[in-house]
Order: sequence, then C-alpha cells, then structure tokens
Amino acid sequence: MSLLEIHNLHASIGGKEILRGIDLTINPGEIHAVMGPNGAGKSTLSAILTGNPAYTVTEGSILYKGKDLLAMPPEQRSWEGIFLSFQYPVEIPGVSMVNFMRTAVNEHRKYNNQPALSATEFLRLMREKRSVVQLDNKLANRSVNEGFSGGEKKRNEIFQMAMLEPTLSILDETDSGLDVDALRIVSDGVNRLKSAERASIVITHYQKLLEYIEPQFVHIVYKGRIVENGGPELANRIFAEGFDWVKEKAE
Amino acid sequence: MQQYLDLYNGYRDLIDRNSAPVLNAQRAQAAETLKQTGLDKPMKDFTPTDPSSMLSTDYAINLARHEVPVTRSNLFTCSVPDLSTQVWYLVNEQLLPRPDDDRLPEGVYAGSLRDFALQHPDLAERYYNKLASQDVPQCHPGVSALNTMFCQDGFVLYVPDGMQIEKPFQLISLLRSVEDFMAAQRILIILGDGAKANVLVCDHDNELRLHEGDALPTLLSLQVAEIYVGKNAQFDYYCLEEHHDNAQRLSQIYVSQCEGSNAAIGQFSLTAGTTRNHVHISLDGEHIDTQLFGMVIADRKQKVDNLTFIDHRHPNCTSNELFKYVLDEEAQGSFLGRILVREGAIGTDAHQTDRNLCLTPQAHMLARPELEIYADDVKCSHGATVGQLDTAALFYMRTRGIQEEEARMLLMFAFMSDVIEKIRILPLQDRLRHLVEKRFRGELGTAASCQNCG
Repeated sequence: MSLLEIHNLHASIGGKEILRGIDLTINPGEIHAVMGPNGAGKSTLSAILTGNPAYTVTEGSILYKGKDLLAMPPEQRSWEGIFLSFQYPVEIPGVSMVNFMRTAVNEHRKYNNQPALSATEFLRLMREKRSVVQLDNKLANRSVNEGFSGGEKKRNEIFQMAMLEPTLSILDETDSGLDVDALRIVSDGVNRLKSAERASIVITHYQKLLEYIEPQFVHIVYKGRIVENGGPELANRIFAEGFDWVKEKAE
Repeated sequence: MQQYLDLYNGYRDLIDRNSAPVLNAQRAQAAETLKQTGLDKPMKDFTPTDPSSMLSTDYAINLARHEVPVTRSNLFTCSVPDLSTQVWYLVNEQLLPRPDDDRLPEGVYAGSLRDFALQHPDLAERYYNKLASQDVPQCHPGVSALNTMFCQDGFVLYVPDGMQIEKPFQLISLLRSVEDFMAAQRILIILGDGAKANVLVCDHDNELRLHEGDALPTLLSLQVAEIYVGKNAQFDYYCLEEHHDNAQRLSQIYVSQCEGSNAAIGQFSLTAGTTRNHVHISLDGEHIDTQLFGMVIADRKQKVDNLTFIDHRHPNCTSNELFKYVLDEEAQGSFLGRILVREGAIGTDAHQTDRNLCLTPQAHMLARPELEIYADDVKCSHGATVGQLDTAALFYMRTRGIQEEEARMLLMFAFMSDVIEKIRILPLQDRLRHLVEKRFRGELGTAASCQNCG
C-alpha cells in the first residue's frame, strides 16, 4: 500500500486558488524532491498536508496509510506520523522548549497507548536527540525559537523531527539560510531517520541539499500543478538551466 | 447613596461606640464628602463597572459588631508550600484574634486597627485616612468616604525604622453572609525608614444559603488600603482575588513612597464577579523605584477594571507598570493607566505596558494608556494591545501533536508568565503559576476556600 496518495488536489486561500490539481503518490522508503519557481504552490502543498486551517481544500482527496487525511485535525496527523519542518519556524515566547517537547512527545505516546515518559526519561531522550543536530543545551532551555538565529531555528526543526520520529517528513526549504556546516548537520539528521517504512518530501531551491539527501523522485510544480516528473537528472537540469523551459513547456 | 447617609445618621452612636476616637473623628467629614461627590463615576469613564450601581444593592452592614460565628480553628488553613507566613483572618470586616504564641519583633505592630488607634492614638492620627481622604486621579473620593464612614476596625501593619521582616504577613479576607452584605474593610500599612516587609492579601468569599433554593446573596468587599513606605524602605504588596460571580469588590489602594524607597504592588484577579480596583501611587521623593503589575483572568459575564495612577513628583525615579488580561466568553475588562511626570521630575524613567487577549468576539476590553509629561530629560514609554491568541503559534504546536485545547492553554499560560515573574517572593511565584494553570484549565472556578489553592 502507498503511504500517501494525493488525487486531483485543489486548494485555495482567501478565495484565491493556489493548487489546481496535484497528483502524487509516495511509497514507504522513498524520498521525493519537490521543486518549482516561487509562488508555484510548494509551500501550500505542505500546508495542506499538515492541515493548516488558513487553507481550504476545494476538490480532490488525500489518502495517508489508506485513511482520509483531510478528515484529521493537525494534531492527529502528527500522531499518525506526519511532520513538517517549517520554512519559517514560529517563535512562541513564554513556552519553554522542554515543556513544548514534553507535551508533544507525551501526546504522541498517549495516542499510541504508551505511558507518559518520566522527567528523567524525557530529559535523557532530549539530550540524545539534541546531540544529533548539535543543538546547544542553552537553546533547549529557552522559549520555543525565541531569539534563535535562522540556522538555529532550522536545526531546532530537525531536532523536533528526531524527537517525534515521523513516518512522513516534509522539509519545506529547510536548507534556505543555512551555511554548509549547518546543511550537513541538518542532512545527517534527516538521513538518520531513513528507513524502509519511512518517506520524505523535500521542498528546495538548492542543489546542495539534494547532494546530501538523495531523492529517487523529482517533481516540478508550476502554477499549482505538477508539470514534470523524473529522477535526480531532472533536478540537475533545473540547476543547470533554471525553470524557464518548464514554464515554456507548460504554457 | 442616600441609604448609606441615612444609615450613618441614624446609627452614628452605635458606630462610634464600637470603634476608636481617631477613627470616629474622620466620619463627619467623610459623610460630607460622600454627600458632595456621590458615587457616580466621572463623565467619559467608559469602564464596564460603576461604583454607584455596585453600591445600589441594599446591603446589610454589621454596625453592631455582631460576632461572626467562626474561629480560627474552624476556618480553612491556607497552605502555600514553601511559603511560611504570619496569617491573619479578616472575616467580613472583623479581624479574628490571633494566638499570642506568635510573637512579633519588638516595636512591630500587626493586628486590629481599632486596638492600634486606642493604644497608639498619635501614630493612628498621623496616618489614618490621610491618603484616602485626598481627591486624587483614578480614585473615587466617594468610595473611600463611604468606607471611612462605616469603618470600625481593620488591619494595621506598623514596622518601625530599620526593622526588616522577611516572613510575609498574610491577610486572608473572607466574605460570609446569607444576605446581601457589605464589608467595609480597611488596611493601614506604615513602614518606617529603612524598613522591609511583605504583605499578601487573599480575597475569598463563602456563598451561603440559609435554605435550599434561596437566591445567592451579593457580597461586596469595600476595601481601602493606605500604604506609607518610608525612606529607603522596601515593601511588597500582593493582592490575590478569588471571588464568586456574585461577589463584588471595590478596592482603592493609596501608596505614598518616600525618597529611595522601593515598592512592588501586584493585583491578581483570578476569579471575580464584578471588580473595580483603583491604585494611586505618589512618588514623594527622589530615587524611588515602583513596580506595579497585575493580571485578570475572566470569563462568563465577569467584569474587572483596573484604574491606576503613578505620580512622578520628583527627579530620578523609576516606575514600571505591567498589566495583562485574558478575557473569555462574555467577560469585560478595562485598564485605565495614567502616568504623570510633573514639571521638574527630570531623570524620570517610567514605562507602562498593557497587553490583553480577547478569546471570543463577545469579550470586551477597554485599554486607555495615558502618559502626561511636563519635564525634559525623561525616559517614558507606554504600549497597549488587544488581540487574540497567535494562530500561527497554535498551528505550529498542533503540527507537533499538541491538541488545540492544550496548545491554547500553553499559550495563555505563557502570556501571563512575565507578570508572574514580577513577584519578588519565589514560593509565591510558584503558587501563582499553579493557580493560573488551574484557572485556565477551569479547575479553579469557584474558590470558596484556600483549599482550592492546593
């Protein structure tokens, strides 16, 4: 069974149609890259997959593990194993990272009929996962993303991903604003989660990330539709020639 | 209003007989003030509460000093973990006697205002009703006058020069009655030069019915506090309100700070019926530090107003003001904060922040920050916002598997965290965190006793 099946997905925000018929199937163990010019609808796709209430699905369906994903609230999608690494992680003043993550982890455990982690167990888990992305202990004691640098915010996203061990992870331009070292740390974090049961969607503009996280499938989104499908060679052509040929072909 | 004047005129002897000469000496002028000013609020005051309507009920007042049938032992005990306090109980307007075994340091007086006025008439004369009889902005002279007319006793804390007391004084005020009832509560605090003290006031009420099916009585706490902070003295005053929907609270706090002193005044309305708080702080010297802060958490049809005034009269003083409201359902609130920087008050550093969340379209908040500056070379700021919970943060939390209700809770709690951090007694900070969380979870609801705080 496929992990994710998107059929003819149409979505809009504020009455403006952004997605105009997306079809995409993802199987366990696969890594898919989604590329496309600015405003093509890449981030909207990630927003729809995670249930952002600002967007309205006007047509189409999404099956995740054979279930109707669109019927689930965002938190249930998370419990079912969907994770989004935000392009712009949100600052939450006054909510500590520890409190935030402990609540999240324990809600996941509750959904899976597991007992809540004790304070010691939780801190041990946190320490272990923090080292994966080399996130400073000081950051873990601060409010969620508050005062973090751009790179720290992105590493914090991957840290949360490592904590929650999702089945389907969506990386929305996680590489933007990262230097080479940070990019390697983030990619390591993603690669560690790779397994035969899991899958990833990587939204990116840059070649570098795809060198670290090697996708088997590449999709080009333009004006709310997937207009090209291919393998890694498609990504290489985009990096070499840009999107103009895609646009011309699509028009 | 007339019913109060009639009551006063009719029972003047009875009122005097149960009090002390210093207190009695103030009554005639107070009655005159009330007659002249009335109880209406000033024009252009758009706050949801109104003293005249709060006082329009025909309240019973315990002029004959009938003893309330309670003793310390059958009252609840307030247990704040890790916070050891010297506890006093104020049941309606009566201060319960305290066992003698808790001795206070030499020269310190804590206890009955009536006894204080009898034992130390000179001190009582010098301080009683001096601040409260002034007609000052953001306070209502009629409200204080009404209190002064009927005040027969109350609570006094007197700390002589140089005496520093770390252990907080706790005054647990409890309204108890089966009929509509008004308690004229009076608090007088005098800190000498270089003295130090902390006072925690906990306002509760017991809703009692004589017979099953009777309507619940309306209980009004008419509270006037006068606070003198001597030169280089340090004083903390925290007022925690947990009232039923039927309770009303009309409070006026007057503070006078002397040179080099440092005061923190905190007002926390965790649950309230109808509450109107007035605070007037006069900075009567140089190099004074004032921290004024508060929070309001209200739902159903609760109404809470805070009217504050900070008067910078002399150079080089600092004041910081922070108020936050979370209004749910059909709650209404207002914050009217005025800061006056007088001519010559150079080097003033005055900041005011008022932030408010309205969780429903039916909740209403009125915020009016006012900053009047008549001096050069000052640093002043004010900011007021009214908004909703951050939807981006809510969604972010939900994508991590945190349920919407829980995410809202975390955000509301986070919103209040900086107000809690202003409290300078750490165990009290922890306790308030716990109470605020319970309040947001709807587990505080109707606190009839301190057991709810547990």
